[in-house]
Amino acid sequence: MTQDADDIAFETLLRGAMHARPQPAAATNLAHRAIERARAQAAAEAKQRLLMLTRLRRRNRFVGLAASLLIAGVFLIGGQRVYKSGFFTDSSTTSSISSDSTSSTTSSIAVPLGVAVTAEALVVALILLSAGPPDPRPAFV
Amino acid sequence: LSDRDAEIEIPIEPLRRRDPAAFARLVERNQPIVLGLCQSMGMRGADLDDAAAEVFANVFRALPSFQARSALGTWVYRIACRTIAKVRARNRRGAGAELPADQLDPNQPSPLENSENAETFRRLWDAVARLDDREATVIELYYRRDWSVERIAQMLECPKGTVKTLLFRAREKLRAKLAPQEIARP
Repeated sequence: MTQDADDIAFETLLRGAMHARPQPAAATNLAHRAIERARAQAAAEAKQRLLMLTRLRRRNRFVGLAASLLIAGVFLIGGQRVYKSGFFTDSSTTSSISSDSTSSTTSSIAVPLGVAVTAEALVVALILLSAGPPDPRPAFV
Repeated sequence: LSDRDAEIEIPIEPLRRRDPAAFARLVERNQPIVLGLCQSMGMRGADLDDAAAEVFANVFRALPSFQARSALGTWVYRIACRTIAKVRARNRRGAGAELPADQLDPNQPSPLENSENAETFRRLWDAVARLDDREATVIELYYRRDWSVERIAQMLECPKGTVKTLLFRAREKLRAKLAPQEIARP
């Protein structure tokens, strides 16, 4: 038997086999079951989404609280440092300090002030990032 | 009615509104092919019923977003192929139990009763059930439902050449399961 004839014979056999295959019994109430299943799936997904939103809201609240504490701490430390550096004292008092001591004091203050400002900027950025856009939906209880 | 005639009779708007009566008609029209696809992928009994219910549940949920860019039937079968493949993969992960017997349509007499090829046919069906998802799908649609390569390509969203390749590969795998004298038998 040639390859072509063999192909045709197999093709015929396969088509015959597939046509001869009995159709499975139609499922009873399939449409109703499908609708029920679809509704159950939709409800489960909605519940899942609500749980995720609740978790997100809780996390945002925690991050907000932590950020507020950090801001307060940074302001406190920064304020103390600035006060100690004599930034708010009279210029006449400052001028009486020798040039050497002034330069050394300025350099020792510059780093903590820079750190404080950077930390504050980071905290603000953190708050802005974690808060996201305002949620138009009512609060979920 | 052919598949295409069946599509024309079901109005789209009630379906988009998820009207239960229209949906029941859609299920009634399309369930033979969906059940056939499940059967060709080796599902039986409760697994087959479950897969069909999941297919139509996904169809029901997607109905409002049906854009009519393709025929309704094509769209349903596309969802069916994706869903059945997922269910099949899930069943394979939890495999181990013996497959239940086929629940066949009692109103449809089996042509196997008087066939000399009965054993060969059964082996071919088993071999089809072991093909991969896309190969089993094209064999079911091309040889059992007599769909054209073009229509299968449209349904699978792939070029016609891909369907031909899938058919060729599937045929080769199935042929390898049979002895030469089984193929040559008239």
